[in-house]
Amino acid sequence: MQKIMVIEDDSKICAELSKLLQNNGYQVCFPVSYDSIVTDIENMNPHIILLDINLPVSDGFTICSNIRCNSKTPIIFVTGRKSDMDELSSISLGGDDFITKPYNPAILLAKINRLLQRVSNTSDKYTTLSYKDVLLDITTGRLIYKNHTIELTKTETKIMYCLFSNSGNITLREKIMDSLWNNNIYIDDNTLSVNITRIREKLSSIGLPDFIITKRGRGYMI
Amino acid sequence: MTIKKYLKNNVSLFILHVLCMLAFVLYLTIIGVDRLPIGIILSIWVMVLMTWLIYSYLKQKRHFHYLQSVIDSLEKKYLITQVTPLPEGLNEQFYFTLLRQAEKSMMEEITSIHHAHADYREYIEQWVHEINGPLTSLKLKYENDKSGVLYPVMFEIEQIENYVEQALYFARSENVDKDCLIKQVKICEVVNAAIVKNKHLLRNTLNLDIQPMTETVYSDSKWLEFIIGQIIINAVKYRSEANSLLSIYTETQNNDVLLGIEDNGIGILPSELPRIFDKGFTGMNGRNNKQSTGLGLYLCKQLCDKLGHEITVIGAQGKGTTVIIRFCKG
Repeated sequence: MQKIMVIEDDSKICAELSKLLQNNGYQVCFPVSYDSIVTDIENMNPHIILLDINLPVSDGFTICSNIRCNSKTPIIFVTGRKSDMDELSSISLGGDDFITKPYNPAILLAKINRLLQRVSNTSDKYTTLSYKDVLLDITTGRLIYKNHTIELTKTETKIMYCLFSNSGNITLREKIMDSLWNNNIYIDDNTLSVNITRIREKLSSIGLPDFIITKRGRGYMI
Repeated sequence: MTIKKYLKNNVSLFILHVLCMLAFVLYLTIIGVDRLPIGIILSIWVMVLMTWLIYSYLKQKRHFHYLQSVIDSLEKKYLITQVTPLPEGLNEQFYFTLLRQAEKSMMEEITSIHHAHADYREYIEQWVHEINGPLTSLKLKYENDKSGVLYPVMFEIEQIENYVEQALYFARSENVDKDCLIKQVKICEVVNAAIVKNKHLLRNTLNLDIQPMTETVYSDSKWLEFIIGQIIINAVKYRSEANSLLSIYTETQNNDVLLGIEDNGIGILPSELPRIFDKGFTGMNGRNNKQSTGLGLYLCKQLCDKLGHEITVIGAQGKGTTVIIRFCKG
C-alpha cells in the first residue's frame, strides 16, 4: 500500500483528506511536528508528499527545499492562493505538481495517481477490477464472465468502474454522475438510467440478469 | 495671452507714465522750455516705453508658450514644478513655491490612498485564501459522504466558489499583468475544466452540447477558465424554464479562432446590449434576478482586453444569448 504524507495545518482538512485518501486505498501519515519534518519524512518514508504552502513555523517553500536536499520523494503543493508566482516558485524549488484550493478531489486523486505511476513505473493499478467472478477491464472496456465477453461503451465502462470500485456498497446516482462529469461525459439523469438499462441488457445476455441491484431513490449496487 | 489682456494687465504702468508725462510737461512749460524740445523728449519717452512693452510682451508670450508645452507633454500634470526651472519674477517665484507645497501635500495624499488600496487588496487576497480552507474542507466532506445528504449543498458551494473567485479577480483587475502567463492552450481543456468546476450548477439545470474542439490558442488558461466560467454561470442564471440548452463550439475565421457559447435563455434587451460590459450594470434581467452583481461580464471584458481577445455578445430578448470570444492568431 502506498503511503502519502499530508503536511497541512488545517485539522479539518487533514481529517477529511485522510479519509478520502484512505477510501481510495492509500495509507496516510502526518509529520510529528513542524520542526522535524525532514527527519519525519526520513523515518516514515512516504511515497508522495502533499505540502501546503502556508504553514505555521516555516512556509512550504522552505520545507520543500529542505526535503529536496536529500530526498526525491514527489511533492504536490497545495495552496489557497491562486497566483502564478506561487506556482512558479513551487515548481522551481523542486515541487512536482501544484493544485489550488478549493480543489476538485477527483483531480487531486488523479494527480497523485499519475505521480505515483511515474515514480514506480507501473501501469495503472486499476486496469482490471473483479467482483464475484466478473472481471472488468477498463483499458479495453470489456466485461468478462465465464468465457463470455461483452463490449462496453466509454460511458458504460465508467459507470461499471464506479460500481466495481464500490462493490458491496450502494453507489449513489449523484456519485456516478460526479465521476462521469469529471471525465467530461456530460449526461443528465435520464441518460444515466438509459445507460444502466443498456448495461443490464448486456449483462443478461451473458447470464448475469441481476448483477446490478437498484436501490430505489438512491443508487445502484453490485 | 492676447495683446488686449496684456495691456489690461499693465494698465497701472500706463497711468503712471501718463501722469509722469503730464507733470514733466507742466514743469518744463513753467520754466519756459520751448515746445519743440518738449515734443522730442516726449516722443523718445513714448518710443522707449513702447519698445520695452513689445519686448516684454514677446518674452512673456514665449515663456507661457513654453510652460504650456511642458504641461501638455506631461502625463502626470501635477509634476509641472519638478520639470520647470525656478521663475525669475518675485510674484511668480512665490506662486511657484506655493505650487510646490500643494504638490507635495497632494503626493502625500495619493501615497496614503495607494497604501490603503494595496492593504485592502492584500486583505481580499488573504480573505480568499482563508475562505478557500473551509471550502476545501466542505468539498472533501462531500466526497467522503456516502449518504448523499450533502449533495444539494454542492450547488450552493459552487456558487460561493464562483463569487469568491470573482472577488479575487476584481481585486486584481487593476494590475493583472503580474499574474498573466500566456502560453499555448487547448480550448477544449479549458472549456472542460470550466464545466467540471461548475458541474453541480450545470447538472439538472441545462443540457449541454459540447462540440469537439481541436483548436489551440495563445492565452492564460486560468483567466480563460474564469471567463468561460462566468459566461456559463450567466447561462445558468438566465436560463429559460424548459429545455434549456447550452452549446459550446469553435469556428475558424480568417485565421482567427472563435469560441461561441450559446444559450437559449431569456436573452438581453437590445437597448441594454451596448452597456452589458459596464461595471455594475445589471439591466432588466439583473433587476428581476437579485443575485446579479454586474461584475461578471465587466471582468470578462477587462480580462479579455488584457489578453488581447475580443469578446462580443449577440442576442435578443427571448431568443437566447451568444457570447463569442475571438482569439487572434499570432
